[in-house]
Amino acid sequence: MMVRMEKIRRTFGEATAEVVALDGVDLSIECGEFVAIVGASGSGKSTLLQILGCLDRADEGSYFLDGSDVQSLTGREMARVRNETIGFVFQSFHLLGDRDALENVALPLEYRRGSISKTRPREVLERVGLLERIKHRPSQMSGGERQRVAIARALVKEPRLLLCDEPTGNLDSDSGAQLLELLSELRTELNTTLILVTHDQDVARRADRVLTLKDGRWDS
Amino acid sequence: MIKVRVLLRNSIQRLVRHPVRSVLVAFTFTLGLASVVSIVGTVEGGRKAIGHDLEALGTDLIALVNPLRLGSVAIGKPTSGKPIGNDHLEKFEERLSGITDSVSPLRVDLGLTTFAGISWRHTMVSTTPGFRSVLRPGMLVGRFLEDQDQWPADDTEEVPAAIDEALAAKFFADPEDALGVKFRSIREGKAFDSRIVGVVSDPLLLRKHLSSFDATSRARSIPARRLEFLNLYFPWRSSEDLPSVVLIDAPSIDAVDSVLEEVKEIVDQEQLGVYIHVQKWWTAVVLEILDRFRGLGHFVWILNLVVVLILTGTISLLAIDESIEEVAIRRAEGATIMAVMMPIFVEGSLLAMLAMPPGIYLGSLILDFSIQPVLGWPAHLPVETVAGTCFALLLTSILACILPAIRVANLEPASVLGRRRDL
Repeated sequence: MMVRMEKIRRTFGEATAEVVALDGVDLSIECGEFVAIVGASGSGKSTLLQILGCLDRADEGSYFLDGSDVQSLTGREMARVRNETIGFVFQSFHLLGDRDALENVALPLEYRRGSISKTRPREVLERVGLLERIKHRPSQMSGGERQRVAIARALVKEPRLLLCDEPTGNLDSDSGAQLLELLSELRTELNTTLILVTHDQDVARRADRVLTLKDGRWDS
Repeated sequence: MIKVRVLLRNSIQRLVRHPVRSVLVAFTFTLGLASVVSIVGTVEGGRKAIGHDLEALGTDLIALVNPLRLGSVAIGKPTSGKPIGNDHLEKFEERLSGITDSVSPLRVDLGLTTFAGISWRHTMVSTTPGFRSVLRPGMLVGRFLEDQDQWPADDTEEVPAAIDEALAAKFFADPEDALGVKFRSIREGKAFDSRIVGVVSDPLLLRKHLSSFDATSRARSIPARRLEFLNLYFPWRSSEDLPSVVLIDAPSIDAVDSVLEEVKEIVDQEQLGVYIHVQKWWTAVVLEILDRFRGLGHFVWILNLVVVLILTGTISLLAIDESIEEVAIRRAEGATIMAVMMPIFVEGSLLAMLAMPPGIYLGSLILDFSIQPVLGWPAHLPVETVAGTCFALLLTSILACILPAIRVANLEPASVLGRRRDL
């Protein structure tokens, strides 16, 4: 079991203005599975993704990632999990604008314990088809290329869990389709668990399983 | 934990990639350091120059006056006991040899000197060659009495002597003409010839310098009370001369107190009944004002660094606000709080170190071209003070990074990366 969540609850704001983003969510995902999470805006899917990615903590409930209890981890340990186990692909890419593609891809390795081959960032960029754009900065690349750099940055860590938050949201339909094809191939190659948040049903249909969130709960 | 090599590389890259911020912070550090250096240089230089002037007024002298020989002169601290004899002199010389410039006994008598039909009553001083250290540079034409200058066994032979410029002027239009001349003198009713080997110039300065010595003459005859440093200086005869005064020349004003402690110990041990006159006490008020001036300098020094701290802290804070997304991305990719805080401190420290050479150079230029010509004293920058200032600047640069670092530490990557949070 890659992910096991039980009764996850997350709220924002103070007492009277409290907003419940997740309200007792349970979730189980097997290793290598491709799960799409869909829902309307404000349904809580991004919050769920951030808790899954150890970027945020649940107020209540339990979360086990690859067997370890995330809720009990310290900030330093969560940082290590993010660095070694989880890869992120965001809708707005979140690349460093003053770094070229290779430097962006190599970024997670700055915080990596132990050694990963120095040629790994270049290899991953080659795998996503951007070897010729290696010295280009994000501003010199198209949206699709930027997102492929972001995927390469996620994959350089050899993550066991890949989290994608609306990865095609800022791409045209052709680029989006190519990107999804690439993600699918990579998941198979690396046997990575893939969780993708989207509001696009066409994108969600490519997943092994589609889960729908509504008002912070699973919509059955 | 982030690797040191990566930390340094990232910090340097950030400095290069944000040139405006880097230049602004480095410039602030440079100006801050320059102003601190110029303040420290002015204050320390002022203290040294004024201290040197005070030394020229004899502030580094301690006079031990034998009251039995000069009467009850109300100067210095009286003690009770025996007068200083030649055997005590040896003890003083032995105990004080490493911590003083000289220990000089002085025997003062009235005498008469005649040359070319002109006669003058004046004081005659027997002393040792160590007295030379009391004379400041430039005060001597020819030489002072040296070890080879002894009182001759044969009364018909000439006695080597030095003469005060004021006395020489009684006989010659140009006092320096007295050099090599033979005088006929009478001391204690005994006539003898002396040959001048040196002229002690600037008697007014010498008088100021030896004001304590001058004061001892007030108990003597009227001519002696009007002592104008019309002296002839003769070699010390340890078998015959007994000291009226012993002058102890400390190496500096600051060393006077430690020398005095040693002197008092000897006086107590030997049960001497001498007046201890410390010239420094006469100028203590000036020294105190100088020290207050120095304290004010240190206050301005701290104030400067606080201003630098606020300015650089503000600039760094603004810079962090600009790069908040980068920090969030790094946190998402596995950076710990410490790993994103450390580069901020390293950047600050690097900029402070970069600013040190130009800051010190600029401070020196300000001293050379602005302050020194106005105030008239040379700047003094002790190495340890400059090193301390640089260390303080480094500390300031680190302190200036605390607020930005706290902001980074409190950053939640989820809220930055998910600004369009739709729950």
